[in-house]
Amino acid sequence: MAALELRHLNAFYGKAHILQGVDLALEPGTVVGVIGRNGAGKTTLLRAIMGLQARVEGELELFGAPLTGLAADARARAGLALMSQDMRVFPELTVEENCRAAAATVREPLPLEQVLEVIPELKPHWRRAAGRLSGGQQQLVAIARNLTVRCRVLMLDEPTEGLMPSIVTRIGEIVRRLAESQVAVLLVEQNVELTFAISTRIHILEKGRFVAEGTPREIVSGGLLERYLGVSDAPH
Amino acid sequence: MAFDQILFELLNGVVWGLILSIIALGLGLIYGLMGIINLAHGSLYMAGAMCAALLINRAGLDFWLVLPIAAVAVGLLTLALNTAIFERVLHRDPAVGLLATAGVFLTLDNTVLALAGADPQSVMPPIFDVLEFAGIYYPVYRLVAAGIALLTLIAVALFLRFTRYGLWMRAVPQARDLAAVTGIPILKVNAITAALAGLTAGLAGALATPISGAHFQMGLSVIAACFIVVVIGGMGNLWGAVVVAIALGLIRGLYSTVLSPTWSEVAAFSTLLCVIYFKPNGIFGRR
Repeated sequence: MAALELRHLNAFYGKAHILQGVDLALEPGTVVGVIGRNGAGKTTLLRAIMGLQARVEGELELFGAPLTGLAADARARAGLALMSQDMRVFPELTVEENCRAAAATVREPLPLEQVLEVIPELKPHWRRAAGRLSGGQQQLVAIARNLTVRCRVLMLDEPTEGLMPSIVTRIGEIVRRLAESQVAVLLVEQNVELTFAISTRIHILEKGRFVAEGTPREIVSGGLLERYLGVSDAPH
Repeated sequence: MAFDQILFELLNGVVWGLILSIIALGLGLIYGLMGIINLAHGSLYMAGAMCAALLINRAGLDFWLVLPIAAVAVGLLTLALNTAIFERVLHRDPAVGLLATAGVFLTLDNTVLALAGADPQSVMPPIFDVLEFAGIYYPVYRLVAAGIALLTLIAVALFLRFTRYGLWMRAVPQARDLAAVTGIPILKVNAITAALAGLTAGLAGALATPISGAHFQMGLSVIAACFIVVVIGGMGNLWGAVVVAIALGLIRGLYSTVLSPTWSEVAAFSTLLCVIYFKPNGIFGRR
């Protein structure tokens, strides 16, 4: 059974038809990367799946259970998670409170001690206001929140934007580790190198439609990057 | 003016400030969490006072039994208002919330007028004793009322600090979309907030009844004071409003030693309004 399945998903901003019949099946333990030019609808896709988009049509299922009609908070409690660069932390809560606020939404959260074993970088900042941390540290707090709720599908919207290369590598490692523990990951990222390094499959979104998909190797060898994104060099 | 009179007025100011602070706390909670400026909040205070006065004077119930009944009744009333009104105006133009709650305020005040009449209701204090110290005789009930208000503030602070819903109530105003994608049940958090705000306003009304009596329009004077302390405390800063409410009580108490009650109120509000000139975002405002 697919962890997340979209069938003919459409999303609108007023009269603008942003997503136009998107189909996608995301299997547990896989990382699916979505790439595309600015304005292709990548962020709208994640917001529509999460329930943050006002007008959405089509079918959405999480492990076979329909998500349609559920508010974003109910989708989150069902196991869907969204990490977005414009909403990383509750700034005035401490790192610990950020994690506790998430842990309290589920019956059996991952104990915070175990979260700190995965992300030990947060230990020195545990009692600090999350808003005082660097962007990279805040992103780690966001990952910690999603670890503690044992999310089953994690969607990441530009998780490395504006972050130092060392943090980008670290986020890549944690995402890989999550996928190894059977979390399904949907990654929207401008950082093509990272996307190709950690994705099992890659979809190219153009003008609200998936126009191509394949393994990273297939995408590169087929010349699809150059055709759809204007990128000539294959990522290393 | 003699020291004993100054002390008496200052104590009155602190008592009034503490009662005002638990009303302002509720107003601040609803604004902070839902972004709604609740014009009907003074009417909730009035509803608590009238509920207490009628249950004591007409049903003959004991004051200490009536106190929690009035608080819970107004809490439930606010919960109903949340479902019927607040949730409908969330995320809309703030003017819609203002107009809707103005409608609630007029409805509540006039319903009480129709049911209980325009005559002020007076209630005997449940404690008649006076405390003699520093040359003054001070009514014990007022000190007890101030103590209950203070305990209420502490209880709310502990609730916000140590409970799941308290944590969520602090989280949601900081990042609403993040709260939703974190799985925080926002509608439930809104409902608990509304109930808590109503509970504290109702409790304040019932506590104030033996001191000031009850009247269908008594919410008007309180709502004006609440708005001033919430704005000067710093919009959205809960504890800033509490501090300013107590300060307002003290300032009013000080002015009362040299001015008539009406002028002392004018002077106290004017003093606080001067703060806006220097700190437009309020004393503890962050924005």
